[in-house]
Amino acid sequence: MSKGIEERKFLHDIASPIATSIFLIDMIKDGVKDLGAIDADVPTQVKQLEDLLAKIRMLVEERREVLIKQGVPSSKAS
Amino acid sequence: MPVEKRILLVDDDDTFRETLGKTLVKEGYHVTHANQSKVAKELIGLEEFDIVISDINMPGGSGIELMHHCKKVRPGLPVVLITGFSDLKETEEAYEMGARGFLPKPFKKEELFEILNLWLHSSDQIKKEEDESQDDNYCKLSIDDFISGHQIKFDIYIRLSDKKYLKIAHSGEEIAIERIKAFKAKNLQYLYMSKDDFRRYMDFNLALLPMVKNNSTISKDKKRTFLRHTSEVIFEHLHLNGVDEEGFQMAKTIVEATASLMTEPDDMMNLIQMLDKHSDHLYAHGLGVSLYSVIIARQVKWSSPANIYKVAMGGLLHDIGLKEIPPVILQKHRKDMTHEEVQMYESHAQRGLEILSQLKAVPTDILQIILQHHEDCTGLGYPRKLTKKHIHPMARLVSVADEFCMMVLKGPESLNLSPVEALERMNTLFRAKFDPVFLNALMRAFKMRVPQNNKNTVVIS
Repeated sequence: MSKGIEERKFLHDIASPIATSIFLIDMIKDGVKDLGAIDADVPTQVKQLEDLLAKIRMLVEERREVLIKQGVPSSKAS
Repeated sequence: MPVEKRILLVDDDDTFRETLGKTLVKEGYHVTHANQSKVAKELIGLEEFDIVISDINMPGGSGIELMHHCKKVRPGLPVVLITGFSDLKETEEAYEMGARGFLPKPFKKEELFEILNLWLHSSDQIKKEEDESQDDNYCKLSIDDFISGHQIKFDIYIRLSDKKYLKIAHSGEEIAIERIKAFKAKNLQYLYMSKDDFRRYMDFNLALLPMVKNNSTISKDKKRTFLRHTSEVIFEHLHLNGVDEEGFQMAKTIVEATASLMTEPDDMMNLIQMLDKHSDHLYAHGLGVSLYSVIIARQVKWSSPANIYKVAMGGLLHDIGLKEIPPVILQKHRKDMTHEEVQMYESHAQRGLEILSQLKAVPTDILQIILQHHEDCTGLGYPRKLTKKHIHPMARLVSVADEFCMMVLKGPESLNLSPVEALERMNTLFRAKFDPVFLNALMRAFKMRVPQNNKNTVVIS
C-alpha cells in the first residue's frame, strides 16, 4: 500500500473517533453547565478539550485536502 | 423544537452512532438505530421515517446501496450520507444519485442540523423551490467569485443533479460566509442563477466595465479579477446561447478591455494564473489561448490594435465549434475515440467557421483563425492539411497558444506541465508543427533561450 493510501486510510479510521469525541464533549459541556461546576477548573478544562478537538479536526481536514489535491485514490480497505 | 421527526440512523460504529443518536434525541428527534445496511432495509420496510442518515462504508452493504434501495421502495425519503473521508468523486456521485446531504466526518452538530433543518423543517417550502427544469435554464458562477455578506440581487441555486436545482437564497437575502464555506467543503464549485437573471447580471457587469477600466483608484488585482469574472460570464452566455451578433459584440468589448488594461506581459501572466485556479477548464482554455495569443503578438511586435484584437478574439472563440460536438465525445481522450468520433471531433473547426460566418461583424482574419487553428506547418493538420505558407499567420500564432494551453492549463487532456516544460516539449518534439517565429516568441516571454537561425518577424498583409 502506498504511503498516500495508508494516510488516507488512517484519516478515514480516525474520523469516527474524532467525530464521537466532538459530540461527547458537547454533551459534557451541556452537563457541566446544567449541574454547575463542582470544581472551578472543570468548565475551563472542558473548553480547552473542546478547542483541542477543534484543532485536531482542522488538522485532519487540512491533510485530507492535501491528499485530494495530490489525487491519492481511496483504499478499498476503508 | 422539532417534534416527531423520525430519523433512521445507520452506522456500523456503535460508539459514534449512539453518541450521535443521543445528540439528536436531545434535540427532540425520534431516532431508530441500525448497525448495518441490511437491518436498515428491513426497518424501512416496516416503519415510517422522515429522513435516513447513513454512513457510506459499512461491511455487508454500503450507504450508497441503501440509498438506491430507498429510491426504489420509498421514493421521496431523503438520505443524508456521512463518510470518514469525502473526496470530490464520492460527493459528486452521491449528489448525482440523489443524496440530500453529505457530511464528511468529523463534522460538527451544527452542520448536521443545518441539513436536517433544510430537509425536515422547511421541506414543503423546499419542495416548491426545488425546480425540475432543463439544465440550460440555469447559468453557473464560480463559487470562488461569490461574495458573501452582501445582499444578493438574484435568486441563487445549487445543482443537485441533472435538471434538478435547489434554491438556496432569495433575491434580497444575504448569504453568510459560513454557508459558502460549507458548500465549498462539499466540493461544490458553482452556484447557479436563472438564465434571465444571468442576462441582467451580465448586462450589469458590462455596464460596469468602462467604470472599472477607467477608475485609477481600483487596483490592478481587482481589475484582473473583474475581467476574468466578466469574461467567464460572457463565455457562459456564449456557450448556452450560441454566438449571435450581440454575443460577439460582448466578447469584443471584454477582449478589447483586457488587451488595453493588461499591457505588460506580467499583467497577462497574472490573469492567466487566476484562470487556472478558478475557472471551468473549457472557459479557462478559451481565455488562456486568447491571452497567450496577445502575449505572442506583442512579443513579435505586432502593434496594431486591430491585429491584437483579432488574435485575442480568434483565441477566445477558436473552439466555438466544439459546442456542436456531443459531450460524450468531448470527454474522451483522442486516443480512445473511434475513427468516426475523430472525424466528428475534427469537424469542430469547420463548424466554428460556419457558426461565426453567419455574423456580419466577424472579420475574415478571425474566421481563418477558427478554421485553421489545427492546421500545422508540416501539412498534417486538419481540416485541410495546409502547409505553412498556406496557413493564415494569425492561425499559426493561435495554434502555438492553443497547444501550449493544452499542456499547461487544467483540463481532461492536460499534461499539467509548467510553462517551461511545455515549451521545451513543443520545441524539441514538435517544433516542425509550429511557426518558429511564434514559438520562439512565446519562449522569449518565459525568458527561455531560443534557436538563433530564425527570422523573428511575420508580416501581416
